[in-house]
Amino acid sequence: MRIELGSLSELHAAGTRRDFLRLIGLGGALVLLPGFVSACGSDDVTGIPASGEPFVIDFSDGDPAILQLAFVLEQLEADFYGRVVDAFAQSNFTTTEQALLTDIRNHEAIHRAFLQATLGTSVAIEVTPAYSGLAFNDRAKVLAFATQVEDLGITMYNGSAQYVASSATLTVLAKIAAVEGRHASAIGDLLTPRTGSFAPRATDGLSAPATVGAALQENVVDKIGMLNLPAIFLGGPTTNG
Amino acid sequence: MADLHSARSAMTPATMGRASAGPTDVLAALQLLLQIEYLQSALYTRALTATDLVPTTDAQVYSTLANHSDQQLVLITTAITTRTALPAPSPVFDFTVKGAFPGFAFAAGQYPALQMLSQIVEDLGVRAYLGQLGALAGDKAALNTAVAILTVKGRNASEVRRLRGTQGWITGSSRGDLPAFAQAVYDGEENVQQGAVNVASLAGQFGATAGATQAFDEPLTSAQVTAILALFAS
Repeated sequence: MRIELGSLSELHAAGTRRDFLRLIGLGGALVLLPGFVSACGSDDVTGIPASGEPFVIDFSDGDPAILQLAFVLEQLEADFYGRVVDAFAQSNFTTTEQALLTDIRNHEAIHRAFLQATLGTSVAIEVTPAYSGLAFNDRAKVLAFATQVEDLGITMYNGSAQYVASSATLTVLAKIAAVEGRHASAIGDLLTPRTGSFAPRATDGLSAPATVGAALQENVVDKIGMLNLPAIFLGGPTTNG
Repeated sequence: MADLHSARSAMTPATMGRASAGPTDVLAALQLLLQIEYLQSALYTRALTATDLVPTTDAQVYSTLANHSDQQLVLITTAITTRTALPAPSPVFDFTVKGAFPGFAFAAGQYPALQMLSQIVEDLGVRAYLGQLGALAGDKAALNTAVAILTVKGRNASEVRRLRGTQGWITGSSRGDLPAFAQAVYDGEENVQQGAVNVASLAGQFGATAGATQAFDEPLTSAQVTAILALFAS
């Protein structure tokens, strides 16, 4: 990962963001997450990851920073499944699969709305997803991306739990994580029915916020910055399939 | 880590006060989760060793469930012993659940009952783990173990539900075609109040109230879990 200190001119350019302004005062280290800035990207639907306006998740905010990270993830999930559902007329999903994916779309849209309402509209930062030309009507490609985004959500929620101060917030995020587990299982079983693919290991992984941010950046136009990242990340147990 | 937790006061009504859980609470939580692991491990171990019970089409799923529950049992047992406590012994289980599954003996032809039992113990597992996270919050290693297992319980629950033609998620507090005793495993799942937010009011075009209940699993209290586990005691 590339770590940069934002220059003053960059900070002034993004002066509408209170976190950038506070950065000047605090002199804190800002991590701008790497993204593809590819000159050839011209797809209307996808946009170019990390080419947009920067925003910052400041972990000195405590629980709201975790909620904001989750909000970025849920915006991506809800938008992705929304596009999948919108493409059903041109796609090769069975009607049973369409019903399942519509349910998942609904759940992700509800998660997104819940986090937005909990953060409050003045705090919740909306992002624009990017997909690098993903074919939303192609079953195999959609299920592969779905697996990726569900697994990212699971490891994000699991890896963030250690930083949540409020036990009520800890539990409500885990309520969502458990349902993401249900989704990941259903997607895995669509890919390889009646195998072990619904749960590749006896325990799911935990990802640190910086790792999650870097993964999200590959599918978000806005440039994700992270400030005051927690110094310590405690990993989870190791198991196998 | 202390810095994070003393960060400025929370900005939302959903982020309420921190539970003051100590080592005693951590061990009590782990012991309760151990009982869940004993139950699941016993069910799948017996299912795997039975003859002509699990059809070959589903054998790989059940061997995965057995493998996972064995590893999870070891993790929780180890979490207890590394905190210098003794894991409670495994009960002997009655998988007829006091006659609710009459004559169930892991015998040939009894796969539908096994499938129902699998759904019950997995949905119970998800909700039991959710209910203990607050008690584990002060012990990050224990918390990490619990959340890493929780999402796999969610995966397992979804799989065993879908294998028997049920949706992978819970709608309202519906137990579907399960016997009446199982209602206790689903009571409370109809909740739509998440922190300060009534999620049903946001769910309009996205599955309405049904979708709002599916989108969140709900915790069971220790007392609720203990009462359900008692039904499985022989």
